[in-house]
Amino acid sequence: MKVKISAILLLLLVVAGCATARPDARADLLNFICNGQTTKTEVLIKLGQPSATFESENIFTYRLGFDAHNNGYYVMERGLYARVYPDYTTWEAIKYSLVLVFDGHNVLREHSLVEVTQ
Amino acid sequence: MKPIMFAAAIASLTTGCVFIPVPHDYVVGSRQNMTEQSTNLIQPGKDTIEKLMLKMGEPDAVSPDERRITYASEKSVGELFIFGLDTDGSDLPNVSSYRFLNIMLDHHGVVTNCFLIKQLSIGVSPDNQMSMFVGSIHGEPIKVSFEALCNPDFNPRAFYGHIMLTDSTLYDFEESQLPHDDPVLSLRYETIKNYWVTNDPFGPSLTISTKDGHNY
Repeated sequence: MKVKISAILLLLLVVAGCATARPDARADLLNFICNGQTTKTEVLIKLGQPSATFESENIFTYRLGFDAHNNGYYVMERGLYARVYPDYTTWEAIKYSLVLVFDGHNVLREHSLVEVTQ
Repeated sequence: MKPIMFAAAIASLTTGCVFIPVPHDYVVGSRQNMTEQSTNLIQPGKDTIEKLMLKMGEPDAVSPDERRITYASEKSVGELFIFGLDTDGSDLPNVSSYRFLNIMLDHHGVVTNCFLIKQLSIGVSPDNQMSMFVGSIHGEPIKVSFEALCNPDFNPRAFYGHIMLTDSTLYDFEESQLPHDDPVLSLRYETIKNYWVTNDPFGPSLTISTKDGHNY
């Protein structure tokens, strides 16, 4: 009986250790994003510097991780992809690519949350 | 079995090694949204750079003028057991399959063309990769792909690269180039005046002479 309890406790400890929640993950991280209303400045204040920009900074992209424990998103930095093609960046631990398209007045026109890894 | 896997299996049988297929899983760090369904969503002539990114996400590589965009993924497809190589199996050369979706845009940011290049790469060691490419370049299927030491105009600065032949053109990519870059050499067959093969101490050597007086 003692062996069984010890085994269960050990298993729980291992599971808990493997599944550490990200303290910076927030379920409401993206709630402020709204087409036709959100400005580029708001995005920069709430999400920080984008991982990449395109079309004279009219397109912002962010790399997001996802913590299943609290259904929360967190912003990831670009990591180097040190395999065959060293110029490529890694998508390790990244779940989504957030794409934000702004109009000429720096107001969000369109956005999408693209799932890049399973 | 896919043709590229069949070719790898045949090649391995003829060179004293055995190709061991493994389940095709994405390697850690690879993007995973380059399926046939997602790439079929791209509509040349209609999609803009914005639509493209809204569908596919942030690309893996972009040219400085943002008119060439690449999405890439890497899957592990097998391992190579080489007869006579002293190994316990833990460091078998791995065989990876890369997919590069290359998208070209015009000056208005509209997609003009997209093509997929697949690369089968054997990692003999971190510094020694053997590769062959399949797919298409500028809408033409790659008929033959092989590695070669290239020496344009007999310049002392030779480089190791990948030669790819389509129905109309010979392309040469420097080894360090990513497949989305422009090739260092692009020769349409009608520009070739003459070519000949010689046997050098290092192996067969192909020399090409063009009508405008260049030698490769």
